[in-house]
Amino acid sequence: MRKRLFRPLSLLLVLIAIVIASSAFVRAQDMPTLRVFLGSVGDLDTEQAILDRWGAENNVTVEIVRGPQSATDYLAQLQQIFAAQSAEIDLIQFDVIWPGILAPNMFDLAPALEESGLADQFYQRILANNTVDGKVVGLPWFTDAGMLYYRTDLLEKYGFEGAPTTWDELESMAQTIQDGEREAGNAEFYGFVFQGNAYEGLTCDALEWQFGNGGGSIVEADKTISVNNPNAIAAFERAAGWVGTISPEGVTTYQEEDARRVFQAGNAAFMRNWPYAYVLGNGGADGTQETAIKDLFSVAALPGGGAALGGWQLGVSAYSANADLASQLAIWLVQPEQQKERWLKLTNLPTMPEVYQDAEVLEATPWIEALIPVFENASPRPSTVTAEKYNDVSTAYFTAVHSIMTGESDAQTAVEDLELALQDILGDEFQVGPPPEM
Amino acid sequence: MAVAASTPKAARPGRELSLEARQARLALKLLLPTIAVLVIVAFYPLARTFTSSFTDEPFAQPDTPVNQVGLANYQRLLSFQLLLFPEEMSLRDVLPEPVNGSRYQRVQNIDLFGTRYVLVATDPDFITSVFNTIIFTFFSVTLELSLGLLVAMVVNARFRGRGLMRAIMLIPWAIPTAISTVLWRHMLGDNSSGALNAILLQLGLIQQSQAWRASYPLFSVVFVDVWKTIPFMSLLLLAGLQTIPGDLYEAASVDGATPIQRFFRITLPLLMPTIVIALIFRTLDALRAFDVFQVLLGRSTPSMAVYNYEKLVSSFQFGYASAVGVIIFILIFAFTVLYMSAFGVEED
Repeated sequence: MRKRLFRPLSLLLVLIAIVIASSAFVRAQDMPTLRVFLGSVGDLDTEQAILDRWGAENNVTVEIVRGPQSATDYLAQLQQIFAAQSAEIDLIQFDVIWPGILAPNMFDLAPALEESGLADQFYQRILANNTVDGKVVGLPWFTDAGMLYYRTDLLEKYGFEGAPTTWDELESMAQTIQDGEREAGNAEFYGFVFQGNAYEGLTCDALEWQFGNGGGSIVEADKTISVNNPNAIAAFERAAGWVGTISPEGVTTYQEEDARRVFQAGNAAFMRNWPYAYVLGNGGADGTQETAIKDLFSVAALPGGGAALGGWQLGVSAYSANADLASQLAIWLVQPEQQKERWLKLTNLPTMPEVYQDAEVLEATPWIEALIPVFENASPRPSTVTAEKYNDVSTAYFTAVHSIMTGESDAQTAVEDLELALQDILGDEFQVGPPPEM
Repeated sequence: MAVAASTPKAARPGRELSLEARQARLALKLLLPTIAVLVIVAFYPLARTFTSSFTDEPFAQPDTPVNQVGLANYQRLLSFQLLLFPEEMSLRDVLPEPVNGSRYQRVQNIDLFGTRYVLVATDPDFITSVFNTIIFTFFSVTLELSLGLLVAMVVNARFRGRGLMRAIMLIPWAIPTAISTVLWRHMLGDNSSGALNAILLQLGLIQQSQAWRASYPLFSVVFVDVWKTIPFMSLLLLAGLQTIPGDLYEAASVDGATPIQRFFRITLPLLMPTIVIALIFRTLDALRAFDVFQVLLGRSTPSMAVYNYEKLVSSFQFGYASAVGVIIFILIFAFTVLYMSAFGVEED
């Protein structure tokens, strides 16, 4: 009885298994899959829609693999994937500071770039940053620079003429607006939000404060460890003074998205953030983002003129099973048409000068013209001179600044300790010295 | 049928092995797969960690050569000194000579009876992470034990819906820590969109929203860990409570013992073996806490395990991170031995 039932059952199971296996095989045959590793910042639905368009044209399934929000965690996860030599991801979004770290695990894009003829159209300094010992590690996808977001309606309401140009101005405007708005009943309104958590984002913010104050750029290109100087210390002290006054006490746990949430909910007068927050504050590419500040804010250069250079590149994993296909997708994504689309839908800054001159771009975001010099002159983090030690340098730096911001340490002590730590990380090739004259 | 078929085979003449020896051999065969799995998943990684802790092996850099460095990693991790630090001197004047090229750096200034000292170490961040972990372990385990005992005694009492109560109680323990910590990160949010602030503001217990994670980092990890682990603690203790015979309490109340006397004279002594087991479990868990720290605080306040992870994936130092791992291993081992000898737990 049992045997009679068992045989057809097992036959059936084998049949099912064959059908499943062959259908998966057939699908894999005519529809290869590319997996794209992206940070979970911004509007990933629009991102997927762009990728799907290429996928449909080329008969490829393109999936987004979501990486962590924090750039520091993102790199950590990427390194784990590489350590396992995993074919799990094909195309990788990576930060402007990482080409040196990632180079050994990346596929050389030089031939694909050559064939596309795009090389001359990029900003050459961004492309050069992506070339490690002649190997093109990544293609410049979009660039980034720290900007000041401000509420036009509130500035007008409290009688201010325009965006602040010095930190003193920003502080007094922020205080006035914060007092006024709290008086008016919004107990959780703050003057200024930024990225104060202990991670790569704080390195960018703090570099802007110190660079804008004549405090140099942590480690100079000539291997001088310059961070221990009065201008940098004054800049950190000023920033520490914001915590709990014009900025929330919790700002020392904020990353980009935390700051954006507060600003987008209408609970802050000023915000330091990257360009991506602009289109989201206005409702997103398809108008579905929840926002309280649509058309009520604008963008200006940061007070003091410091702007950290950010930006994301597209590279192909050396362990990808579809490296050539992934290279084609990368080339397609960085073409001028796609860069323009990214700016209009995602406010990701183009990496080609010609896109900034596009009539549609200038019409949609007229303020971009005034900011072009800021983007072009943004200050890079010291990733070239410190090479593979950069991550340690940045960690020591943001840990020190974070301890100043939380009041755990005074600026003088923290910077003195930071200098020692940097000397220890970088070795005797690097000398302690003052920053270059401005 | 199967048994009948194999019996004649076993009784076949010419086999000299005794029943016992054959059983031992069978046991060994049955254990082999388990041993193989253990060797692959436990012994190999452990041995690999030990051996690479004596090298400068990098992480995810396939073409970099690896050198033996002896005990250098351990030296760098564990070198620390407490120095006199007179007010008129600068830090660089009092710092000792570097060890193997690693500079001493300040962990903290310490004022003792009006004299200033400075604690220096070649890896100040590791020393800080050790302190963070020990403080966290002390407070979380103490709170978990006392609150867990309270909960265990409540659900040990007879009342309607006790079964349901015991099931509900387990929910925090059933949610993966990383997920519940992300939820807590939102609930501990720094404005009134954070649940904790919203509730406390409603109740009038605070006047203004608090930035819990920023202002009280260690308090918030202890808080989340206690919330998460009370169920485990009370379940363990409940099992212990149920082994205490009820007639002891009856006899005690006949003799006129108050509930407090009954607790200290009967419950606590008889529960002691269970408490020790629970303490060992929790202390060891707390010493290697990772997820709750990593998700809630990230790099601002690392535990030893978070520091270990950092050194591996952000600093790309496989060898050095292995040394951190070995130190955590030794520390946990030492705590276990300490507990066992202090409370006289027998080895079985």
